Amino acid sequence: MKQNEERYWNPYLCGVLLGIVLYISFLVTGHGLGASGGLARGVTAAMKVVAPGTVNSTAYFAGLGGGEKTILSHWLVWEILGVMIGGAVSGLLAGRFGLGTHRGPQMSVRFRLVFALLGGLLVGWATQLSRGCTSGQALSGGAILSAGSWAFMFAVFGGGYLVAYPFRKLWR
Amino acid sequence: MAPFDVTTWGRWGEPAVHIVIGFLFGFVLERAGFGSAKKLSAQFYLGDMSVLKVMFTGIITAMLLIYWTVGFGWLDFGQLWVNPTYLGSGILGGLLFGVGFLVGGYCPGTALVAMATLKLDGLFFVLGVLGGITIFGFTIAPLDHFWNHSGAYGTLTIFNWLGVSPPVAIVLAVLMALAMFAAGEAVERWMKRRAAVEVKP
Amino acid sequence: MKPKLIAAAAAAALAFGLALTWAPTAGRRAQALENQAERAIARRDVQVSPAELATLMHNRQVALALFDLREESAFNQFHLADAKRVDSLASVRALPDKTVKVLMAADEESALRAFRQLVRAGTKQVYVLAGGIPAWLELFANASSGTPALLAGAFGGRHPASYPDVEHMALPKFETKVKLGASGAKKASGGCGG
Repeated sequence: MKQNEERYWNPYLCGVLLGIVLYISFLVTGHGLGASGGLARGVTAAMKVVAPGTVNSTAYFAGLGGGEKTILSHWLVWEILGVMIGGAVSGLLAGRFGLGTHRGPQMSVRFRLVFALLGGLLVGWATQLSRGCTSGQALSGGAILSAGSWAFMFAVFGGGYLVAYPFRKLWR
Repeated sequence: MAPFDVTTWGRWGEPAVHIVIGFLFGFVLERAGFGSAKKLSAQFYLGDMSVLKVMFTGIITAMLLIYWTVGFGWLDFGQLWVNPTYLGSGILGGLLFGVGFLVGGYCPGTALVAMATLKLDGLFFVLGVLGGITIFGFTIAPLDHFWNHSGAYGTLTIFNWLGVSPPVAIVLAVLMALAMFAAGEAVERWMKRRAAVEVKP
Repeated sequence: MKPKLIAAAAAAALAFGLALTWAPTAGRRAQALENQAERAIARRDVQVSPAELATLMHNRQVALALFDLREESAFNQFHLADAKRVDSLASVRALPDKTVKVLMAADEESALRAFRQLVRAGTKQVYVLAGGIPAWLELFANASSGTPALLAGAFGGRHPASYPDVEHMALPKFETKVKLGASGAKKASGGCGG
């Protein structure tokens, strides 16, 4: 699997660039970045196609896309499309594009994929509870100095460090 | 005065603006190596503090840019979206998110980048996220009160909470970030020395 | 090591510089108004509970103006009696200071965004409906989680919950948020006791 790790840019430089992008977002649109919200709309839109009754009768999904609401015509959806394109382009330019599976040295591909799925399930659930993810809450809310966002951010680091040792076989 | 109502920029204005912003976001994430779960998870094993560095540098860069522009009167702070504070669900959600991050190796944004570069683990993580969101919709009802009311302070900025002007909070945030960078680098160096010692015959 | 130190010093300098140059003459009053608004919001002084609003709607002594910020389809499904749907806040700003103006939306946050704009512009007696329309429906239409999707059909302002009969119902206790001064937010007295 191609992964030119030595070509990763300096993290502080990336941070500054990220901060500029985040600033541009606030400057032009009034809001920051996001990711999980776009995925939530994707879920709701898909559910609307296969089970519209469920969407309308389940409060959470109804709020996102019940009745006559247009679901996918929302900035978060456009934005995550952009994220994927941007990530792909950068990967292509840097020689990091191609099929593969990032995993720890002790993990088989199969186990890695299972844990990726499980981790995603938990993260997906948690983002809805906390009303955002690291993009929307930690980065954006952090920059604008929202107290709740900072609390979320520290909790994320806390949660990760808490289980790092028990799950070390995943990554070491 | 900024910000603008991009919904008035014609039919394709709003989508175009956000696709461009998203593009830049995804591009930078991938450049930082955050399309790799190995790079991201290394943060939690102390050898590579890139997540900390990128995140907090990003936050203070944006913060300084935002508040300087607000101070000059070019950006209307009242029009900026400030995430409402829900301490209960935010902290619990954050902890669970952190666990899922460690187990799965990504956060939603970085997983999208990984998926976009054809990494299977990124794809599976994203599928998991979609599943988790679905499950949430069907399980949140009994937790509704906690979700909406526990520690719900509405829009609460750090400076309002502390009762100070915004720059005071910013100075504190910047100093804290710089201290964390210094500490983080010290930890990285310590971990490097440990690894070198272990390898020595 | 050196470039990092320079960058760190620059960041610190920018932060301290911001502190020293903050509160430029033009921004100061707006900043003060805004801080005041944020503190009021944080203390929940401006979030009016459905119970209080319903009571106010029956109070003929109070000049009350209700503004619904949701999109048309939601408004047509259900809205409070005499609520006006608005896209721009100009009509809210145009009202007299004494009129009690209540903003409502699908959630509190959306209403608070408009609230902030109005307060920054110097509008007085602005409040928001706590919990938004969902909270209203939860209390007056027995709609759990208060999603308008649970009301089949378009009732507009004709649903029983649009003008709840507070005289004949047991309202939960509420904290009074709306401040009615000595002269109060009284309607100009009309002829026919309207």
